[in-house]
Amino acid sequence: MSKFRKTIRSGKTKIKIDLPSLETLSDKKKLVTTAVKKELERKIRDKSLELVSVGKSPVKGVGRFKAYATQRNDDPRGYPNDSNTRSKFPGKKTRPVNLKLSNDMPYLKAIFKAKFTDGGIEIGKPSDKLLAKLFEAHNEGEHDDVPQRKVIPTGGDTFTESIILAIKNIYLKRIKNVLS
Amino acid sequence: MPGTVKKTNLTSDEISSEIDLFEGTGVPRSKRKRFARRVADFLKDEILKSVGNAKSPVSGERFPGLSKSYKEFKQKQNRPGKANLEFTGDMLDAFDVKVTDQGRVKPGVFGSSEVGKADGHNNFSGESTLRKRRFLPDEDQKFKSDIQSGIDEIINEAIADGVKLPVRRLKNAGTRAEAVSILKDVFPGSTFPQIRNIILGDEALLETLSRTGVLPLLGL
Repeated sequence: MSKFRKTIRSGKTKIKIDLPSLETLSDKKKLVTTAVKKELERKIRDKSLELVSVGKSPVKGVGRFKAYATQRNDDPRGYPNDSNTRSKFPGKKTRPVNLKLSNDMPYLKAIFKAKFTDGGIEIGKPSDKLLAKLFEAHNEGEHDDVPQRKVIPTGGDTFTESIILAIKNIYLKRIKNVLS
Repeated sequence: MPGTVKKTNLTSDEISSEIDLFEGTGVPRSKRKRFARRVADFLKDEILKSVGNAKSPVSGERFPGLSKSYKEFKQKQNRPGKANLEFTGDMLDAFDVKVTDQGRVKPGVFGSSEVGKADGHNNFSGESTLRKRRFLPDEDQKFKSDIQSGIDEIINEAIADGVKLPVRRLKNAGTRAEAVSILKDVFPGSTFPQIRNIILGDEALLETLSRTGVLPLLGL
């Protein structure tokens, strides 16, 4: 039976992917190489952002993101139609709710920047203070005026199935290389 | 055949396609709902992604572009000028993929206020006057191949779940034909290409087969 699914675990502010070793190769460092970790980081980021870009959370059970304030509160001058956002980011749309102000996406890029571990990677709350505050608001719902819009699984959550399958395929490809 | 749309449903509260995942697979009924939930979760991602990118997730279908006037209207209302089926977002918020007691999956729009809109795009009623932008497959239709591959992977996980390989017999297999014959006993009803994909999708099976020495015989 596959041990794989038990290896994706989330804590308070981070999620860890710790790929299982094989009976025939117990040394994780040899199985989960730097190249594998880089591929995990890239694939999780890309697959997650594909979902976020159409307004859907990559976290299992969360679904689509709540509307922005202009629609939610029926307020023509609510975010993103407020004067501050309009002047700085005139291209920002009311729909889809994609958490993106510019193509730089500093918040989204920061949360998918991985720390490499022996068996895989860890991603989540950034160390930068401002981006950490955004994480607390968006991901954890710790700000009264901002609805929770979870992008990183935390607190026992996991990724949606399409992302889990992508992680699994990276792992299986590596296993096949090792065994052949 | 697994993944076939068995029927479509259209009522005042629901428009959906009902898909049988496990026909002919040998997956016991007791396991079907568990894996159907995974397929449902996967399909929800993939259908919403396709639609959000103004593409149909259904094989052989496409989303025609918006009319000039509606495109201009959408853009004036600060929405993208593409056919992503999202203006207020209410219809897509009502989209879900449910799992039946028999382990089938039902992608659909649920809730009376949004069913009409969804039928406008999918035209299960035959009465829609809108340009068809199908995101729910009709009977005899399938999803696009990349989506179908993901569904097949999860079904293969279901088939592989709990399987114990006859290690001693496999170690004694001297030829490819012998090894294939043994595996066909383990996975009755599956062709060798299907068995190959089942094995390649399960690290425990791959490792066990590697220890028996038959991986090279099987061309894996």
